[in-house]
Amino acid sequence: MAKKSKQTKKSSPRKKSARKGIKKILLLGVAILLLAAAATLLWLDNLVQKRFDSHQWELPARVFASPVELYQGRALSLAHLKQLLQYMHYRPEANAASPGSYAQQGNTLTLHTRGFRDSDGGEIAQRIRLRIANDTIAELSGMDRPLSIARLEPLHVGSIHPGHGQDRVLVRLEQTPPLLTQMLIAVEDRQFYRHHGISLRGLTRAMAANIRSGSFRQGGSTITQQLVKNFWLTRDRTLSRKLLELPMAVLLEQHYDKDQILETYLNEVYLGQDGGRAIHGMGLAALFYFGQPLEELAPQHLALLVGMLKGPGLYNPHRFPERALQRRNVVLDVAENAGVLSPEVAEKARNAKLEVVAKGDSTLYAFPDFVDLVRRQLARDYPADVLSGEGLVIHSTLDVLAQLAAEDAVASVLSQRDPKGEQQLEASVILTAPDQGDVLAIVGSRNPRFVGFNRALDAHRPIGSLIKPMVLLTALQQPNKYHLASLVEDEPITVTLPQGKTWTPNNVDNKSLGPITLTEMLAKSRNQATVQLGMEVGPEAVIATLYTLGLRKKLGGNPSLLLGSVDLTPFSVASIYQPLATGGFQTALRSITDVLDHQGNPIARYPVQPQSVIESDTVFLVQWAMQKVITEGTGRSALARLPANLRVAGKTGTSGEYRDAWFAGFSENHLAVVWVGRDDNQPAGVSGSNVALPIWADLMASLPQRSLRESFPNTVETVWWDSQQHQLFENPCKDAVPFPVLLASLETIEFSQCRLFNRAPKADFDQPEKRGIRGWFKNRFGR
Amino acid sequence: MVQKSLRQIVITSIVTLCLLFSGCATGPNLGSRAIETMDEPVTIATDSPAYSLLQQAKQARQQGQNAAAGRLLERAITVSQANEAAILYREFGELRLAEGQARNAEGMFMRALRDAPANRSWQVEIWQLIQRSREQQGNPSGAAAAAERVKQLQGLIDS
Repeated sequence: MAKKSKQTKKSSPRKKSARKGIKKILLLGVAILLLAAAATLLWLDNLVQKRFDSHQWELPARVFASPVELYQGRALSLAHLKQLLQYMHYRPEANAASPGSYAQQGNTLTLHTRGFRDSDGGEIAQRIRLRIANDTIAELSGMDRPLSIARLEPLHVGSIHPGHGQDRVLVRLEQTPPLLTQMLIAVEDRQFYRHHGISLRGLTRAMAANIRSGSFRQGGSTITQQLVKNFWLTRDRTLSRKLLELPMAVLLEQHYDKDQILETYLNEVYLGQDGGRAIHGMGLAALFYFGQPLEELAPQHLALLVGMLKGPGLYNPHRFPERALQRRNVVLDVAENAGVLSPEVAEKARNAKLEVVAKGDSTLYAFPDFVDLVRRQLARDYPADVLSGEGLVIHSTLDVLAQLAAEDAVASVLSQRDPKGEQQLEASVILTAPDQGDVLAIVGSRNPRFVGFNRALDAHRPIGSLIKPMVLLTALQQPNKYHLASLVEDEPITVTLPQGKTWTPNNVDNKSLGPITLTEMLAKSRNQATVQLGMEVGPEAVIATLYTLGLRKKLGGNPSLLLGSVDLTPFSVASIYQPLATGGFQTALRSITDVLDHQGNPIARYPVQPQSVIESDTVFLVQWAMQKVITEGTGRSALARLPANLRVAGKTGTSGEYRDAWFAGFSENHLAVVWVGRDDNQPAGVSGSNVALPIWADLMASLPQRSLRESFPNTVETVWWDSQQHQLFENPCKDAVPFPVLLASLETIEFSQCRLFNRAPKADFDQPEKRGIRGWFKNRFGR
Repeated sequence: MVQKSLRQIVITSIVTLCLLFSGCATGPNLGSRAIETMDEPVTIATDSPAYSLLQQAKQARQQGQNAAAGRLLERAITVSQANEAAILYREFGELRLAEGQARNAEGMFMRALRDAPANRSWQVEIWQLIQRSREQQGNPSGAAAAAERVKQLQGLIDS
């Protein structure tokens, strides 16, 4: 015993020291753990604050169409106005009580516009009344004041996000319908306003469920935790992520109030995918799924958005409408039980259909070819990170009704010409308002909703006879040598090329007309006469004219360019035709008018900058000859499709072996270029007059047009041409037709004498000669 | 009596023939169209939307909001009738001139000339503005040519 006791006594100090050592180690371990935990917390705290404070939403640049101007006298049919309102998701509502609604009574509409900001201040949301009569706005008034002009807010038509592919429309909490947040809290986190980031009750419930299922299925996440997960962590359901999520949620709540957290959550949440674009935030989801701003959504719409949070793919209303409807109704039930919705409202909402915009019908991405042009023009002035991240608001020149009309014109003609697509015909259209160079519409393919090859901007194709007005213009710039009645030989011509080879162009009909006027040369699109004239003035001079008109492409001096063997895009053709349409003024074609920051403050303008590049009177003569293309020449089939008495000008173009069909033409307020052909550049059996012209004419006929001016510039005078006798008369003469010439040309013209009894009155072009004896006297002595 | 009647018939016939010949011989002179259409007023209807926007643009310009004024004028041109554009382009040109964008201003003034009906007083004023814009661009020969046009037009007005 004694020994034992001795042994015990001997071992005691060792044990004590071992215990002490363990204690020390434990203490040290705890201290280290505490330190590590404190350091981790500090690090997490820093991470949470730093990211949240410095967080800037990756807001893509948003592109808007041109606001629709409303004023008395504007051509606008009731059908078109209703179509527009439908596109803008205006809803019928008694007295148009809230923004985004309208009320109709016969031909009178009361609209409650939504208001917007612009570089001129923009428009307030207001109620306006307009009456439509004869496809025109007959009256416009405010509700309590006279109104001479008003605007509908511009339609959101696309976003530009080159880097990250995320799309988002930022909403402030005060803009958010209270019902949305109430439903959200009722469904996702009932304790939201009571917990400090985590809900012990929720966690316990989730853990019990996980134990029962034997897997990690539920996380019991609060809204704060979900935000932490979306913001900082991965979407993996792992324990380690959960261990980070919990303290971060608590830390987040320590620094930020509930409203800040809720607002960030509403803008951050992922709500689905549209191709390569991720739909983030309630603001964009409202526009994408319902075509309306968030604040205008009905309870059933808000419930669907809240319901989709559980699984945006699972409850996608486009792919799984029934599942989405069930989920929406679950949310409505929860909201009703929580007292957020009255039983009546909930019941009405439950009975509603999903009411989502059909997939592919959303205006958000409806006009990809136009937005493509905007993106390219913006990319010249803004770096990619600014475009993709700062939420710029881009006001474009897109005219929604004109765009739809252009799409319809293409679809209508090609569906007749190539209904099943067996000919593989493709088409593109560019429509501009020439005065200001505004691009109003772009169709880049037969399927305009398809994001792909933008033929209007990228298809470089031979322009054929579209070049002939430029050959004529080059000649007319020498008024002492050429005028519209000058004769040119439409005879076989052989041109020796620089390499010693020869080129002998033919006319399409393989005939030659002999001497013809320059006007006839253009109107009938005579190849031999054009080459004859082009060689007289010189291909280099024609190239110089093209550059003067705004062509940027470098061209060689090959004579074949006189018949359009030069590859241009429809956009380039529109650029060089613009000075012809404006009377000699060039303005860079623009797709953007203004750039505003994400709060609507103007930061840049893209102003109109016209430059006089060709004398107006010379261009007037070319316009006059181009009108003859429509009235007497290769474009005359357009007359059947155009309104009577509309004066327009244009030119057909067809490339070799009928591969490309073109038509470019204009009125006073619209210029349109149409191309039809095949992508593989194979013969397509198309010509300018049989395919491109009908599209052009249908488009022009569907837009409000102003005729080209009829009155002559001061420096233009009329002479009379007898095409049988090949004689020019200073004054009206029997069988002679009037021609405008520059005063500068008169000195060089040798006039024939009109025989006494052949003399006719100098009448305006469209006033027929009066017949009979009385008429004969009246014609000679005045009316 | 019969002689008197015959004389009357002969005289009437001669007068008629003279009138016929004179009628045929008095065809319009070259340039008559320009003379006929001279001095048509350059106007804008005060109840038109373009006029309303023009007034707003002038107000914005007075307040130093040139960007807003420019946008308002662009809109005014878009909604204007053909005969209203000249006044709008002139205002636009004056705005650009005030902003120091003389080249742009000249383009606007040229449009104001092109879009206006024939009116010499108007043309004099516009050519004077073109002269100013060319001076601002450092283009003395262009300015001198504009001044010459002013002189010619004023001479025509005085005569």
